[in-house]
Amino acid sequence: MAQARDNVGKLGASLPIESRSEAQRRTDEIRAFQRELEDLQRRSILILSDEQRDAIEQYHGGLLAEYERAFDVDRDVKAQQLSIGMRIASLIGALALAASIFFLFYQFWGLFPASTQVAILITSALGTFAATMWIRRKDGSGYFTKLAAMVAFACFVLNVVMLGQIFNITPSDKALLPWAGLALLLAYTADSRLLLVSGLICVIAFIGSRTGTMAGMYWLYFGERPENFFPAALMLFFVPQWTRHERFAGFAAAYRILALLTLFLPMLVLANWGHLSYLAFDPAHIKNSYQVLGFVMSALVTWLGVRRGWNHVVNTGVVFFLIFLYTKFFDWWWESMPKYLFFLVIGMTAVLFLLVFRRLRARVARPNPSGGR
Amino acid sequence: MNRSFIRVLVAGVGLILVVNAIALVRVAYNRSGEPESLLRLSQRELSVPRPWGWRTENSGLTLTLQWRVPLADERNVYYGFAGRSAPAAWLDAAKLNELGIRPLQPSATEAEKRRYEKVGPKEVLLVLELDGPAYRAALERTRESAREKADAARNSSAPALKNGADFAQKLLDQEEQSSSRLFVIDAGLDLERLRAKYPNRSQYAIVHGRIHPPRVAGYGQPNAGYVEGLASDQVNVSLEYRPVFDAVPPPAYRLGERYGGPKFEAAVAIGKRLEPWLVSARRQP
Repeated sequence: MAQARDNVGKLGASLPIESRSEAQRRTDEIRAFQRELEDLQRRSILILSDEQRDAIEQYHGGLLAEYERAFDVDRDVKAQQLSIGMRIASLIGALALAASIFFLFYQFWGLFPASTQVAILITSALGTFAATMWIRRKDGSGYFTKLAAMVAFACFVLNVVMLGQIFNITPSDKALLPWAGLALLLAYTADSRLLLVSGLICVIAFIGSRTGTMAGMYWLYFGERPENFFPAALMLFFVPQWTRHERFAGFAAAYRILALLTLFLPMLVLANWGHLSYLAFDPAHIKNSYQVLGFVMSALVTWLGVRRGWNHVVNTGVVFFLIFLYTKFFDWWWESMPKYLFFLVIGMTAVLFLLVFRRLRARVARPNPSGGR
Repeated sequence: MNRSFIRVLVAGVGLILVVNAIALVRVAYNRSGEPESLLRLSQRELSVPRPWGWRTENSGLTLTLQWRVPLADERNVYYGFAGRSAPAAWLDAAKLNELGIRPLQPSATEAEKRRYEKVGPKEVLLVLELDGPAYRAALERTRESAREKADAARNSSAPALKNGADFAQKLLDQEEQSSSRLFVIDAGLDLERLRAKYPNRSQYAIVHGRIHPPRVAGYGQPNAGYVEGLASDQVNVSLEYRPVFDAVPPPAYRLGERYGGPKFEAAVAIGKRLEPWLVSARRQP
């Protein structure tokens, strides 16, 4: 027992937790453990000695106090509910402040000579970035850091756009790269999924435009050929496999969901408007091929998600499978069927899906005799 | 301060500074030495933006270069003053071939037509001509049309002919007084060759732009392509020249509307990177 107490003292609060989301995850685990332990003791299934109980309490108490001090984590459900409100306020505040800075500059930039305009742009980009870093050191909760980070990103975007306007620089897709770079840097620094998504959208647009350019398109028109998005989708999907994201809650999921949207949305467009494809076949054939591909890919993605335990991938796959299916139903039957029958078919399909997923869930939940997954 | 904090700080600050430095060096290079060309434009070739929506809050001013193309077809004469939607007469099969676009053959199969329709705009160098033969030809054509229609209306009492003559007269007024005299008259892939062909740097400017191959179906000369746009047709006005453009109205909406704003002359230079900038501006009497 003395050994256990010593270990508690050593481990104490010095575990290598570096982000708020990681600290919150550990806090939730500890809370769940405490509730379960209480229940086990009440039912007399597990009886710990006073010394053991004290050691655990002391260890967890130290950890929780440390997490609260360093990361301002939510220690109970009430605090968690309030945090959701704070997160929403932070998101709205970040977007509104970014817009405010844009319009502020727009309102007054014409009153300054070019040199002052450039100085203001560079200073605001640098200043807001430095401010974000300073706030990050002071702000345990992370809400203010996220807000400041979004403003810093907006200032940098404004900086590049306005330099282009002041000096009549020919627009180029190269601007997307530094935007992506700063957005990702800020996203990982401030643990902000909004900035991660902003950065990834820049990356998707850049890869899309380069794919279009390689195929002979003018870069600004890359959206006209939905296939331009496929390389970016593939690359993004595999990023979380190559890099570790344990410290950043929801980052790996954001990569995969955005990758799947980048894959399925263009596929959905091509499944309805085949003439937009690069392929020079009959548009009707292209349309049909993409419909089949959409079904196959969304089913494959759902299977992969179930196999790997990626709920977000399963959900995205299922949603797109249903969209592809219902779009097809609409094409086939909306005109020819009575509406009650059409909606009945849709409803029955949903019931069929529920049955299939129930069986699938039971299969996944069944313990594997070999011990693996 | 821990090491990761310093690394992030250096990376962010470095990124912002490097991006700004690259942009400013580019600008300095574009404006260094003698400009590639220098055009003296008026309110006919440079327009101020229409104040709508949140543009009303914009304290800056950016002018737009008003360019046109010589028409390929007389039937498109109405587009003469817009000058952008119509096929360019000079962008024929031979020129398209020279620019690396194989025009569609009349014997093309359905599959070839589909493949051709997917060919998007191509980036090329465009030659802008200011107040030169292209403008004079357009003016002459409009005069001729106005004269013909006036003669026809004089010898008939049909209201349609009278309306046609009025319309042609308004087009002529517009062509003489307010239409842009800046025409895109040629394209190429090599700057030196184009400059050798058009040596006058105060009448011919060479800029980056895009052409579009002829459409498979549609009106107009079947093998004439379109000029889709200039890579950079915006000219920012710096603070010192702002008074020159005060009270300059945006382009007229309706045909026949006379320009009532102040007249100006603005020298627009095109630099080494073929990007424009405003060198000087002054009011004209």
